[in-house]
Amino acid sequence: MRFLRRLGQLLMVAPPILVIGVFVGFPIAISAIYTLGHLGGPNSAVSAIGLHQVSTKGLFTLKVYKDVFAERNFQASLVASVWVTVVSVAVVLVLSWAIALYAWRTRSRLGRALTALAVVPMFIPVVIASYSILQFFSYGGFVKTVASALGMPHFPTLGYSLQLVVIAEIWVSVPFGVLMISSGLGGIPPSAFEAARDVGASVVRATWKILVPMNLLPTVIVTCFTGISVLGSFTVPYLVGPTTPTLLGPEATETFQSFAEPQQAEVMAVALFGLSIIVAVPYIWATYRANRTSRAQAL
Amino acid sequence: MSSQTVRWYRKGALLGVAGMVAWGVAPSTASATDAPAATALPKTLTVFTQGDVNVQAEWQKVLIPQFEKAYPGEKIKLVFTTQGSENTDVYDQIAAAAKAGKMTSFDLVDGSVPAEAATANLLVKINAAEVPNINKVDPAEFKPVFNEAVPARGSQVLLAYNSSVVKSPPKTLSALLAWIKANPGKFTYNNPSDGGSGNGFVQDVVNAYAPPADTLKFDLGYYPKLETAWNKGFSVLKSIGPDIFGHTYPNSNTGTITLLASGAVDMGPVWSDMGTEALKDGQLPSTIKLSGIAPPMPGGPDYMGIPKNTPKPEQQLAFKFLNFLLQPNVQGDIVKVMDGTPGIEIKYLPAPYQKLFAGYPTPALPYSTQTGSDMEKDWASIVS
Repeated sequence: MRFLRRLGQLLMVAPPILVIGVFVGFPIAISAIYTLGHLGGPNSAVSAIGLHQVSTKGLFTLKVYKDVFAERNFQASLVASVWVTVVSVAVVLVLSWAIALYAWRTRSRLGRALTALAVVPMFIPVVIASYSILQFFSYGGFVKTVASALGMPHFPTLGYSLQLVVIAEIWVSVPFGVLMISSGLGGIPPSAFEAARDVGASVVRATWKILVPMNLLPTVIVTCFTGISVLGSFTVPYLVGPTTPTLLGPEATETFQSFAEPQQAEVMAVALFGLSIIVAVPYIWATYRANRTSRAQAL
Repeated sequence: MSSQTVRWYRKGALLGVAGMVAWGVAPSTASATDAPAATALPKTLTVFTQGDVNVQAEWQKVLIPQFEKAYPGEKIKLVFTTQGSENTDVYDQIAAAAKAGKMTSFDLVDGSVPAEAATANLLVKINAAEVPNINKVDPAEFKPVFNEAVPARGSQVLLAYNSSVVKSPPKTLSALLAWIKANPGKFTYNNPSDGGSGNGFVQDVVNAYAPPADTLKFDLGYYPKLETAWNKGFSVLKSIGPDIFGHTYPNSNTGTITLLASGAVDMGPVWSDMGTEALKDGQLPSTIKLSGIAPPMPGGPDYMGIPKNTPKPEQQLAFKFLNFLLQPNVQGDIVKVMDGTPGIEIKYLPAPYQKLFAGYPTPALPYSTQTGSDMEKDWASIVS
């Protein structure tokens, strides 16, 4: 009886696992083999168009990895991807917490308005937002015009710079952060916070010791999801960023489409995948912990 | 704009086929039922084209009404899409049908597909007996397509300059490079991976320092060993890097036009059709002028071609249409609608149209797809 129930449960999860296995897992495995120098079999078609490929007769070769990691442009883009991600995530966390906390603490109309306003970018397509941001900050844009009017004609323009990529990534990511953090805070009874305040804890200390731990899972989710989406972003760095260094998304796309080097592009994809896994670790840890706690509570 | 779309599309098509083969799925062949029966005398020419709305206007306002008026009783059935991805499907269909010895659903294909299909020898050869008007086309334009397609219209990369600031524009590439050095921050060209106008400028510079015998090889084939000849050109491009506006490269053809329009730069390479259109609708101020330099930057024709295995009667009708297409008066009307250059040589156009192209040099051929990929890659690693 128990066996049948197990089997039934297994059958229920089988379709999604099969779909992921066939449509995601299989191509990933084939691509991974391709980057290791196996051009034949399922890779024979893609390798027919690739330039500067490396093949091996042995088990595998790491030459493509060595070549790609030795390229100056790739190194620069790798470094850029990491620092743009770290800065964007940090600012998104600070902004989301600030807005959510203000609304939660004051429960004022202004707080609610701020929360609602912070979510607006979610409804503006990334392409349009990117172009607007570029126009706003670049030559002849609002910032430059105001600076000029104030007697600063040589005010720097941020157009096509990594700083502008950070600004645009923040714009794109803040709505999700605010939604997650404020809904997480909404589930915390104010009494927990007030009790700490009553025994003499400062606002900062009460927030740090009570609210942050109680709202840890949403915070981790915002960190990981923002991190992964910035790492893998294409539109924002492509439209507002510099030619080089850029983020790994545009770099891999250019390598694939313009340079006709699918093998090298897939090595970059593997690097991106590796970085994303590192970012995902805290999320997996946090959900595992949360699941264990909720199960313990249920028992 | 065409050469770059061709180049991009070529890759898309190849990758599309690659994807299908990788999955072990044979591209489906065209069903013969879609096409008119081969035995009946054809009255309808089925045409596929892909492009912007100006391509649609070219067909619906010029080609179809004029052809049907010139040849009463004959009809053109147009299959038009703005979706670039459709090109891949049509290319796959032509490739699969040629392999299987079957006909496709189209008697004539227009847009960026024919150039790619012709290099793979998937189209019917065009000769002067069937299409006498091909003698009005620059013979160089048949080389990259192995005589399997006819250039229908074109565009070429020209130098756009602000005539209110630049009184006498550079006439040669070396004069242009000297001007860029002398006027830091007043010139730009887009990332060659992202648009054909910047690509054309880069090709012109690297070509200028390469042995002339090699440049034709770069256009028609793939010779990676000869590409070291580009090094001199790339070092010149690197040396003007600090003089480019904002020390960075816009990421599209439009990027250069935007900077010209705002007055940020006074000079930059643009596609002739995009520039002319931008001048017409006021996107660019009338102080911006277009001119050619020597050696010329490349151009990119859009070709039309007939898929292999198209039944003979339909082929005859398609030949008749292609001959009509290359008539000077028809070409004049195409030029008017498309703002581009004609498929035939400018000297054969009706006189009033010839004036539009005063100062347009005969464009250079664009690099072959693979050579172009290497040039883009080298530019990214050496110059940017």
